[in-house]
Amino acid sequence: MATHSEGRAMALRMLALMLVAGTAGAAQAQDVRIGMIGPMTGPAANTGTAHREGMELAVKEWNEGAGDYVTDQPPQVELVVEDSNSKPEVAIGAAQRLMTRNEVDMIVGDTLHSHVTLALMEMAPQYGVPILSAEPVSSAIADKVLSDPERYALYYKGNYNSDGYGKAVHGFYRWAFENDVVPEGNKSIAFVVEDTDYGIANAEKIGELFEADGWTVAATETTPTGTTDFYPQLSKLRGLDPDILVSVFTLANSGLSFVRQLDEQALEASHMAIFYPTRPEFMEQAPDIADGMFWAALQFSPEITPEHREFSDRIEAEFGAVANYSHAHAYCTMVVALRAVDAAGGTDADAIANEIGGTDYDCLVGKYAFGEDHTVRSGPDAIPLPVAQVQGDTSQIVWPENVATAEPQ
Amino acid sequence: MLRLEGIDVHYGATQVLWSVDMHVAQGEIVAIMGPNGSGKSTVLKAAMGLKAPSGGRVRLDGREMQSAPATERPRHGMAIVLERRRLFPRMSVHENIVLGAYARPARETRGSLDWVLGLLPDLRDHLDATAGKLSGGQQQMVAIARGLMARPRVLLMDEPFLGLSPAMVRTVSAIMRTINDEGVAILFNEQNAKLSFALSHRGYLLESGRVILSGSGQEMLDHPEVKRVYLGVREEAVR
Amino acid sequence: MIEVLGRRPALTLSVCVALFLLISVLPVNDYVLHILTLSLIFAMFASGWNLTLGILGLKTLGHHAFFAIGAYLSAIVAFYGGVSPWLTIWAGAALAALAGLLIGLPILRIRSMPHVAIVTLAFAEIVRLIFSNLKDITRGELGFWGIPPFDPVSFGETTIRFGLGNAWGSYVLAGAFFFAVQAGLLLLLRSRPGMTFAAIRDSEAAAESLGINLSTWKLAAFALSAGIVGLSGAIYAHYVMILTPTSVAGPEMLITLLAIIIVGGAGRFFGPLYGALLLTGSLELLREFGEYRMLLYGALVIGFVFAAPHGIAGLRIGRLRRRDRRGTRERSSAA
Repeated sequence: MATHSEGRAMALRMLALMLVAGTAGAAQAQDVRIGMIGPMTGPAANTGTAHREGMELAVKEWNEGAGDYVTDQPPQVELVVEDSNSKPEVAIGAAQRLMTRNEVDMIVGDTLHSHVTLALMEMAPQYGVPILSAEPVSSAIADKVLSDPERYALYYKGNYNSDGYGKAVHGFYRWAFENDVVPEGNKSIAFVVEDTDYGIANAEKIGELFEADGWTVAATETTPTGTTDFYPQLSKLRGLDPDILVSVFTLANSGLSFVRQLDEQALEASHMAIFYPTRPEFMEQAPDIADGMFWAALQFSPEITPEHREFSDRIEAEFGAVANYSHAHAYCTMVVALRAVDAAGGTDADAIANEIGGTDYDCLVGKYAFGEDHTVRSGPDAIPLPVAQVQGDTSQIVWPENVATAEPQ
Repeated sequence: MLRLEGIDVHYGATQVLWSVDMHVAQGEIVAIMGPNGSGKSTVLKAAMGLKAPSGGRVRLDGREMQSAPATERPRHGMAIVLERRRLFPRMSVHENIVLGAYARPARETRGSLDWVLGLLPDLRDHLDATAGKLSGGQQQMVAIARGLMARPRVLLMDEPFLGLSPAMVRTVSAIMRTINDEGVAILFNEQNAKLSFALSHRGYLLESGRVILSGSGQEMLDHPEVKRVYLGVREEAVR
Repeated sequence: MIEVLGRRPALTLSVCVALFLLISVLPVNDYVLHILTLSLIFAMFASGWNLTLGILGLKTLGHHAFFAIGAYLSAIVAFYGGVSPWLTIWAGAALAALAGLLIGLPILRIRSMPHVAIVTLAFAEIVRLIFSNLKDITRGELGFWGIPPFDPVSFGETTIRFGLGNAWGSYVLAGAFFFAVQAGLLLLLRSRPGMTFAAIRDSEAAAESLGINLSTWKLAAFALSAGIVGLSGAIYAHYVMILTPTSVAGPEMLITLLAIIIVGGAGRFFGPLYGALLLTGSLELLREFGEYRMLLYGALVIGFVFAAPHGIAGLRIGRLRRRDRRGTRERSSAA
């Protein structure tokens, strides 16, 4: 008796789980259903929420007749949002759920993480569904596509490769030397970067590009994330006297300390700051301590770009949130997806993928066009990574020239 | 057969035993008596190897036990019934008892179990019970049974009467005599002088980690020092 | 051992296997199979960890390090050496077991459980940092991709494929490994080693006095536990085919697995399976609630800990009839 009820209880426990998990939810009839996978929970949930808002706005405008359509009869679109929790295996579950339960015609995701995308892109060949990732930049994704283009025919990467920053910094200085904005000097460059993949990969790429021009890398100093004391690094650099100094931090605090201490040490190098000036906390204090500093990349600037201002107002009206770059990028990625579905004239996966590949579309953050590696191109005439300069109370774009809002000072 | 020679024990920097000499001959019941904190338990732990002495030696049948860790000693014929029983509370009585034969060859287990249950027949009714659920007296029986499963020639018992009812004390005393009749020597400790020395053939009186008196059970009971200090104190406490 | 194994563990295990096989022939969709596959992998992880954490009662909190070691070593050997994952997973498990021995040595000397917890946590963090700094080999946080799936297996006409997207094959594979490990553990725990582990957990002093060599057994348990966890990591690596140090050795992995063990029933043989199925399953069901998902998940875990303090495996049907036995258990665990 005892064994019976025990075995049955256990069987019931397992079956209950299965049954509930298998129940399908009814979805309304729509022409096209697009799934979105992003970090809605976990450490990156803030960014994930921005992505969701950007994409929801794009779909809403599309369905309400305010979209930028390709055909006369654009399909009505339903967006289904799923969480990746910043984990590859969770994203896989989300994708399988979107396909088996919601029967989506296309997936946009992961919206943020490269490592999640590296797993998620496997779903495209396995299930024959087009997948377009949003913000991930890792070049490893593009390398993977190139290693087997046939297998990843349905996958596209909606952001430039991780060497984008390197190319932008290098491109800006080439231009600056030619136009006598910055003196070339002894051709020596130095780095102070955060000890993360992001910091180190950027330093390596920039160093590589300058070395090809005959420059020498005087020093690459790495500091743990969150460092606020840079005197040891700076006094070493003072002895080396580089012509260009590149700093990369993800935290505004580190950036603020670095810029202050750099000012005290009075180095003569041209300083290029990467990433941390995009943080609002940094920019609040920047006018006092960083006047004239170059930084990358100013991709979303409501203060100086009317188009961005106008988008920001739409986000604020819809969600009551202050728009940032992630909103804009997600919005544009979704518009690219919507236009591809529209142009494909149906839900055929190959047709949609073809249309994504053929995208040539100007959106908020630049022109979307994909290369052979299925990756959005970066550069002055594609998605620019604009170099900005702190000028008085605001930052102005000084490079590339076609999007510049001010001359460098 | 068991002989402790000049045992010193330190806990950190504090010395708790000072050159303790004791012996237990075959077939003897030997009591260690002394007040709280006199080092009675430590003597047993040192004998078993559960606490390494800083000086002196332990011999079993003339054989040096110094190099044998506690886990080896059951193989040489020693077993200990720890203070407060220390059963495996979440296991059954049967499992507890059988684990006592851990150091013995597996083929002996059956025979040992029959022998032990012959000595402690009351346990037969509780073999499937969870050990932690038994009364203190029953637990003590299980602990003794577990100790006997190692087929020891000398059984060390740390405070075997602690927390038992008077009736249970009598039962356990009787069991100890029965075990002794089977040829197992016993070395135990107890705070109660009357109980200790009435049960034992010989006894030691320990104070502040030193043996201050030894002799036969009756000699000890009759000794004026024991009478004055321990029996007096004890009677007062009882009243 | 009833408390650890339950009554009739072999029968319960057989029922589980039967259900597992039944599901494999039912028309279950890939999504459900994926969730079950993950549950089985995590259940294996939890079973290994349960050996030290639950059955031996050592508060070790660094087992996600062994998961990462197994995952990365198997992936590295398979990727760079071109060796079949069918072989490399054993290398991953072996290295994890060795690492378990190494971390077990200092832990033997530590009597205070909080310190054991801190030392093992620190060890896991070191492992995470090592994998994240061996960028030339692992690509650090950028992700180690290109990990091959298990080679396909052919039975005459039919070929079973594994890895992401091959949901059925992956499910069967994860189940086969999990139940093989469970059967092995069951045999082990029902024989002398199981009694020895339980004795050590119940009372180290008594165990030692009976001739149980605490160091040897604890080290053996550590190595076995780490080895099983390492094997589950290796299977995970060849299933998901992408690894990052944070996703396999980060604190989130620790918390997820700890919740599985506690909800399932720490120290109970079937606890990890129940916990993994329930938590992985409910996390998916809660997707309906969007951004409140993790909040509800947390509430669910807390609710379970209150409702079933001994875990799901500690629950009994017909509780009243067996109140007597329950009383036993409670008193003894309070002791």
